[in-house]
Amino acid sequence: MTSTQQRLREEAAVFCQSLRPVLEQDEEWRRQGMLSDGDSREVYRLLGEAGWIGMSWPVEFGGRGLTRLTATLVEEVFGYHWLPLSSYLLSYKTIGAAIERYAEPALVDLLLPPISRGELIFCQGFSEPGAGSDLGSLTTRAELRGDTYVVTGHKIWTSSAQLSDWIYLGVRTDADTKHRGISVLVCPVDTPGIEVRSFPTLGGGYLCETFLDGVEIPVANLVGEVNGGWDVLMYTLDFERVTAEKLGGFAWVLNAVEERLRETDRLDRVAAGRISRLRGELHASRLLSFRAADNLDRELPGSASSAMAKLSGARLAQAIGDAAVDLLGLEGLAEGAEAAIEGRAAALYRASVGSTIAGGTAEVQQLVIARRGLGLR
Amino acid sequence: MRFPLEPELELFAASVRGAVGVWEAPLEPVFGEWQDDRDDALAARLAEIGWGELWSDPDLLGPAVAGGVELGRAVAPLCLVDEATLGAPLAVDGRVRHGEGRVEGGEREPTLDGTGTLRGVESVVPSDPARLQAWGAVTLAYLAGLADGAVEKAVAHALAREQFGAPIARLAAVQARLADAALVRDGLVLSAWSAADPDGAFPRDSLAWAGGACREVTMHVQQVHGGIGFALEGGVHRYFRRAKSVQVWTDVLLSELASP
Ligand SMILES: Cc1cc2nc3c(=O)[nH]c(=O)nc-3n(C[C@H](O)[C@H](O)[C@H](O)COP(=O)(O)OP(=O)(O)OC[C@H]3O[C@@H](n4cnc5c(N)ncnc54)[C@H](O)[C@@H]3O)c2cc1C
Repeated sequence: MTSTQQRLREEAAVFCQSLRPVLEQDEEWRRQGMLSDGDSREVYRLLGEAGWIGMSWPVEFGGRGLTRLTATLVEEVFGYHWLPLSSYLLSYKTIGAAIERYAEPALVDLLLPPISRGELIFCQGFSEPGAGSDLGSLTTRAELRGDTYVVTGHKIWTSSAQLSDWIYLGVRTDADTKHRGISVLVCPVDTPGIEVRSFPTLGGGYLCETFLDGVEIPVANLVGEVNGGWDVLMYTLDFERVTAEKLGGFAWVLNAVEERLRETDRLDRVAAGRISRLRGELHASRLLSFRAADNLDRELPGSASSAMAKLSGARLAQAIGDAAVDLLGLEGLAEGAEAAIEGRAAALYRASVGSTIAGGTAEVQQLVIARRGLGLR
Repeated sequence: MRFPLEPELELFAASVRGAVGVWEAPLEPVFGEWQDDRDDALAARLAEIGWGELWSDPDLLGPAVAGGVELGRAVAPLCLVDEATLGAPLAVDGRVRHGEGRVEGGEREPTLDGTGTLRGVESVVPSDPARLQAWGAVTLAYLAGLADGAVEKAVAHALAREQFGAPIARLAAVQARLADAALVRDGLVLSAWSAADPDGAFPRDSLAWAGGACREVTMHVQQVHGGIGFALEGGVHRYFRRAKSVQVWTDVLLSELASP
């Protein structure tokens, strides 16, 4: 780590501490067991105001011109302080990256500056009831009428849609082919014809269904080529799958569990050994994340390294959630501010279920590693 | 999958199923609270068919296990297991496991604090070996039932859910996962039945294994469900959450038993 990166991480930690009063007033923050699924418009705005959104973007878009790797190192600090990051991750890290790379300059100028100011939140409408792992079979139709697409379909599992200003949509523009018939469109969520319904999840937060009925979106809002959307979606996922922020949260949990066991005179050799092994795994997972971010910086093929980062972090979420409850014993099952380690053990235990599903299931990550990484076909 | 039972055991299992009836565990985890899923009407229906007396005669361990499996399949309140076998609900800091609020007459229920240290009672382990034996057998049965109910849901989902133009049940990865889950489920069911032996020893080792094993099954089940298992609706998550809770509580009792 360079001294600049170290300094930024320290600054970020101070900033995160300043958010603590805001966080403590937020009931969802207490319940949410996975910080990357947590959401808060207020935290997003404050992040933007303080210049923490869009770190890798050029200064003219409100960024700091840093590398992805540096941003990733800072995101880990956000995670350690358990910031609710869903809007940040969607708007900047994943969708923002694709817009920066694939959208026309006018769209880039329109969207990136308000994102980096913390004023514009994006959500991601890929998955559909019939298209989960088989994303290529999505059926939300976009019909071209003049210079407008008319979009009709049903999206599901849309994180943060209830808070979002804009939506990033995978749509079908050619019904005759599969992957080569997909395009990506963006539009404001309040465009007529869009309806968002949220439902509660095991994580303690919400996910949404998004219904699209005759939604008119200008052709100028295409991200990438017509029928070239598959590449855009895959590019987006390569960014989504670098999940160092989660790892920051897990490091906090391990420290908190260790501290609690010490306090209650239960930190025996077996417990210390289990924590140590998990820290070792966490270290390897961090390195996988940093390598993946570095590959993205260098524009090297990133799918396999991002899938490794993602899969190792997802498994760790489950291993640490499980171990934290085991080690704390009965008090590990309790939730809430008053509970041991602020109830985060029980919350992580339940929320970690989503980690091997969101952003592509564990099995899908394995396929990416096997095919793209090892060349097995 | 239903394991074939002797006719009279099947009869008792069916009456437990009948007593459970359309009862459903609460969908919403009570975040930040101990969940209260006690149900007086359900407890009364079970009492009517003799649930609660089964510990008193070693020959009734068979029906106790048959019934315990049914309770697990339904993710029924855990205090039904504890009260029927130990004679009192287990409680932590005065709160019954999976029951909200304090129970009057603090002497009756074994109480622990959050770290698993006993409070105000000498032991959570019942002095009557018949009760302890029944608790062990029914706890194993409950875990076997959780695993069985969860696997049944996952198999049904895998057959119904199509991706890539076919049911996901045809995918090798999904089959491997469900096969792993099924073999552990079967191991749990067999362990529960082996603990129903009136002359057998307390199934300490089986209990030490069963909670974590059951959790593993429910994890596979969650994974096969994909996103739908993460929504509260549908309730697949109840098995997953309950398995961990049983594991942790069981460990407390086992460590109590192990201490000199
Ligand atoms: C917390 C959370 C947040 C999410 N946020 C978003 C979001 O913001 N936007 C969005 O568009 N989507 C989002 N999703 C959806 C997510 O991308 C999908 O849930 C995921 O891709 C899996 O799809 P599915 O749920 O339909 O499961 P399915 O695809 O039905 O999978 C079911 C099971 O089958 C297995 N399987 C399927 N195909 C294969 C195969 N070929 N080989 C081996 N195994 C296979 C899976 O691994 C899984 O175990 C989110 C999901 C979660 C849980």
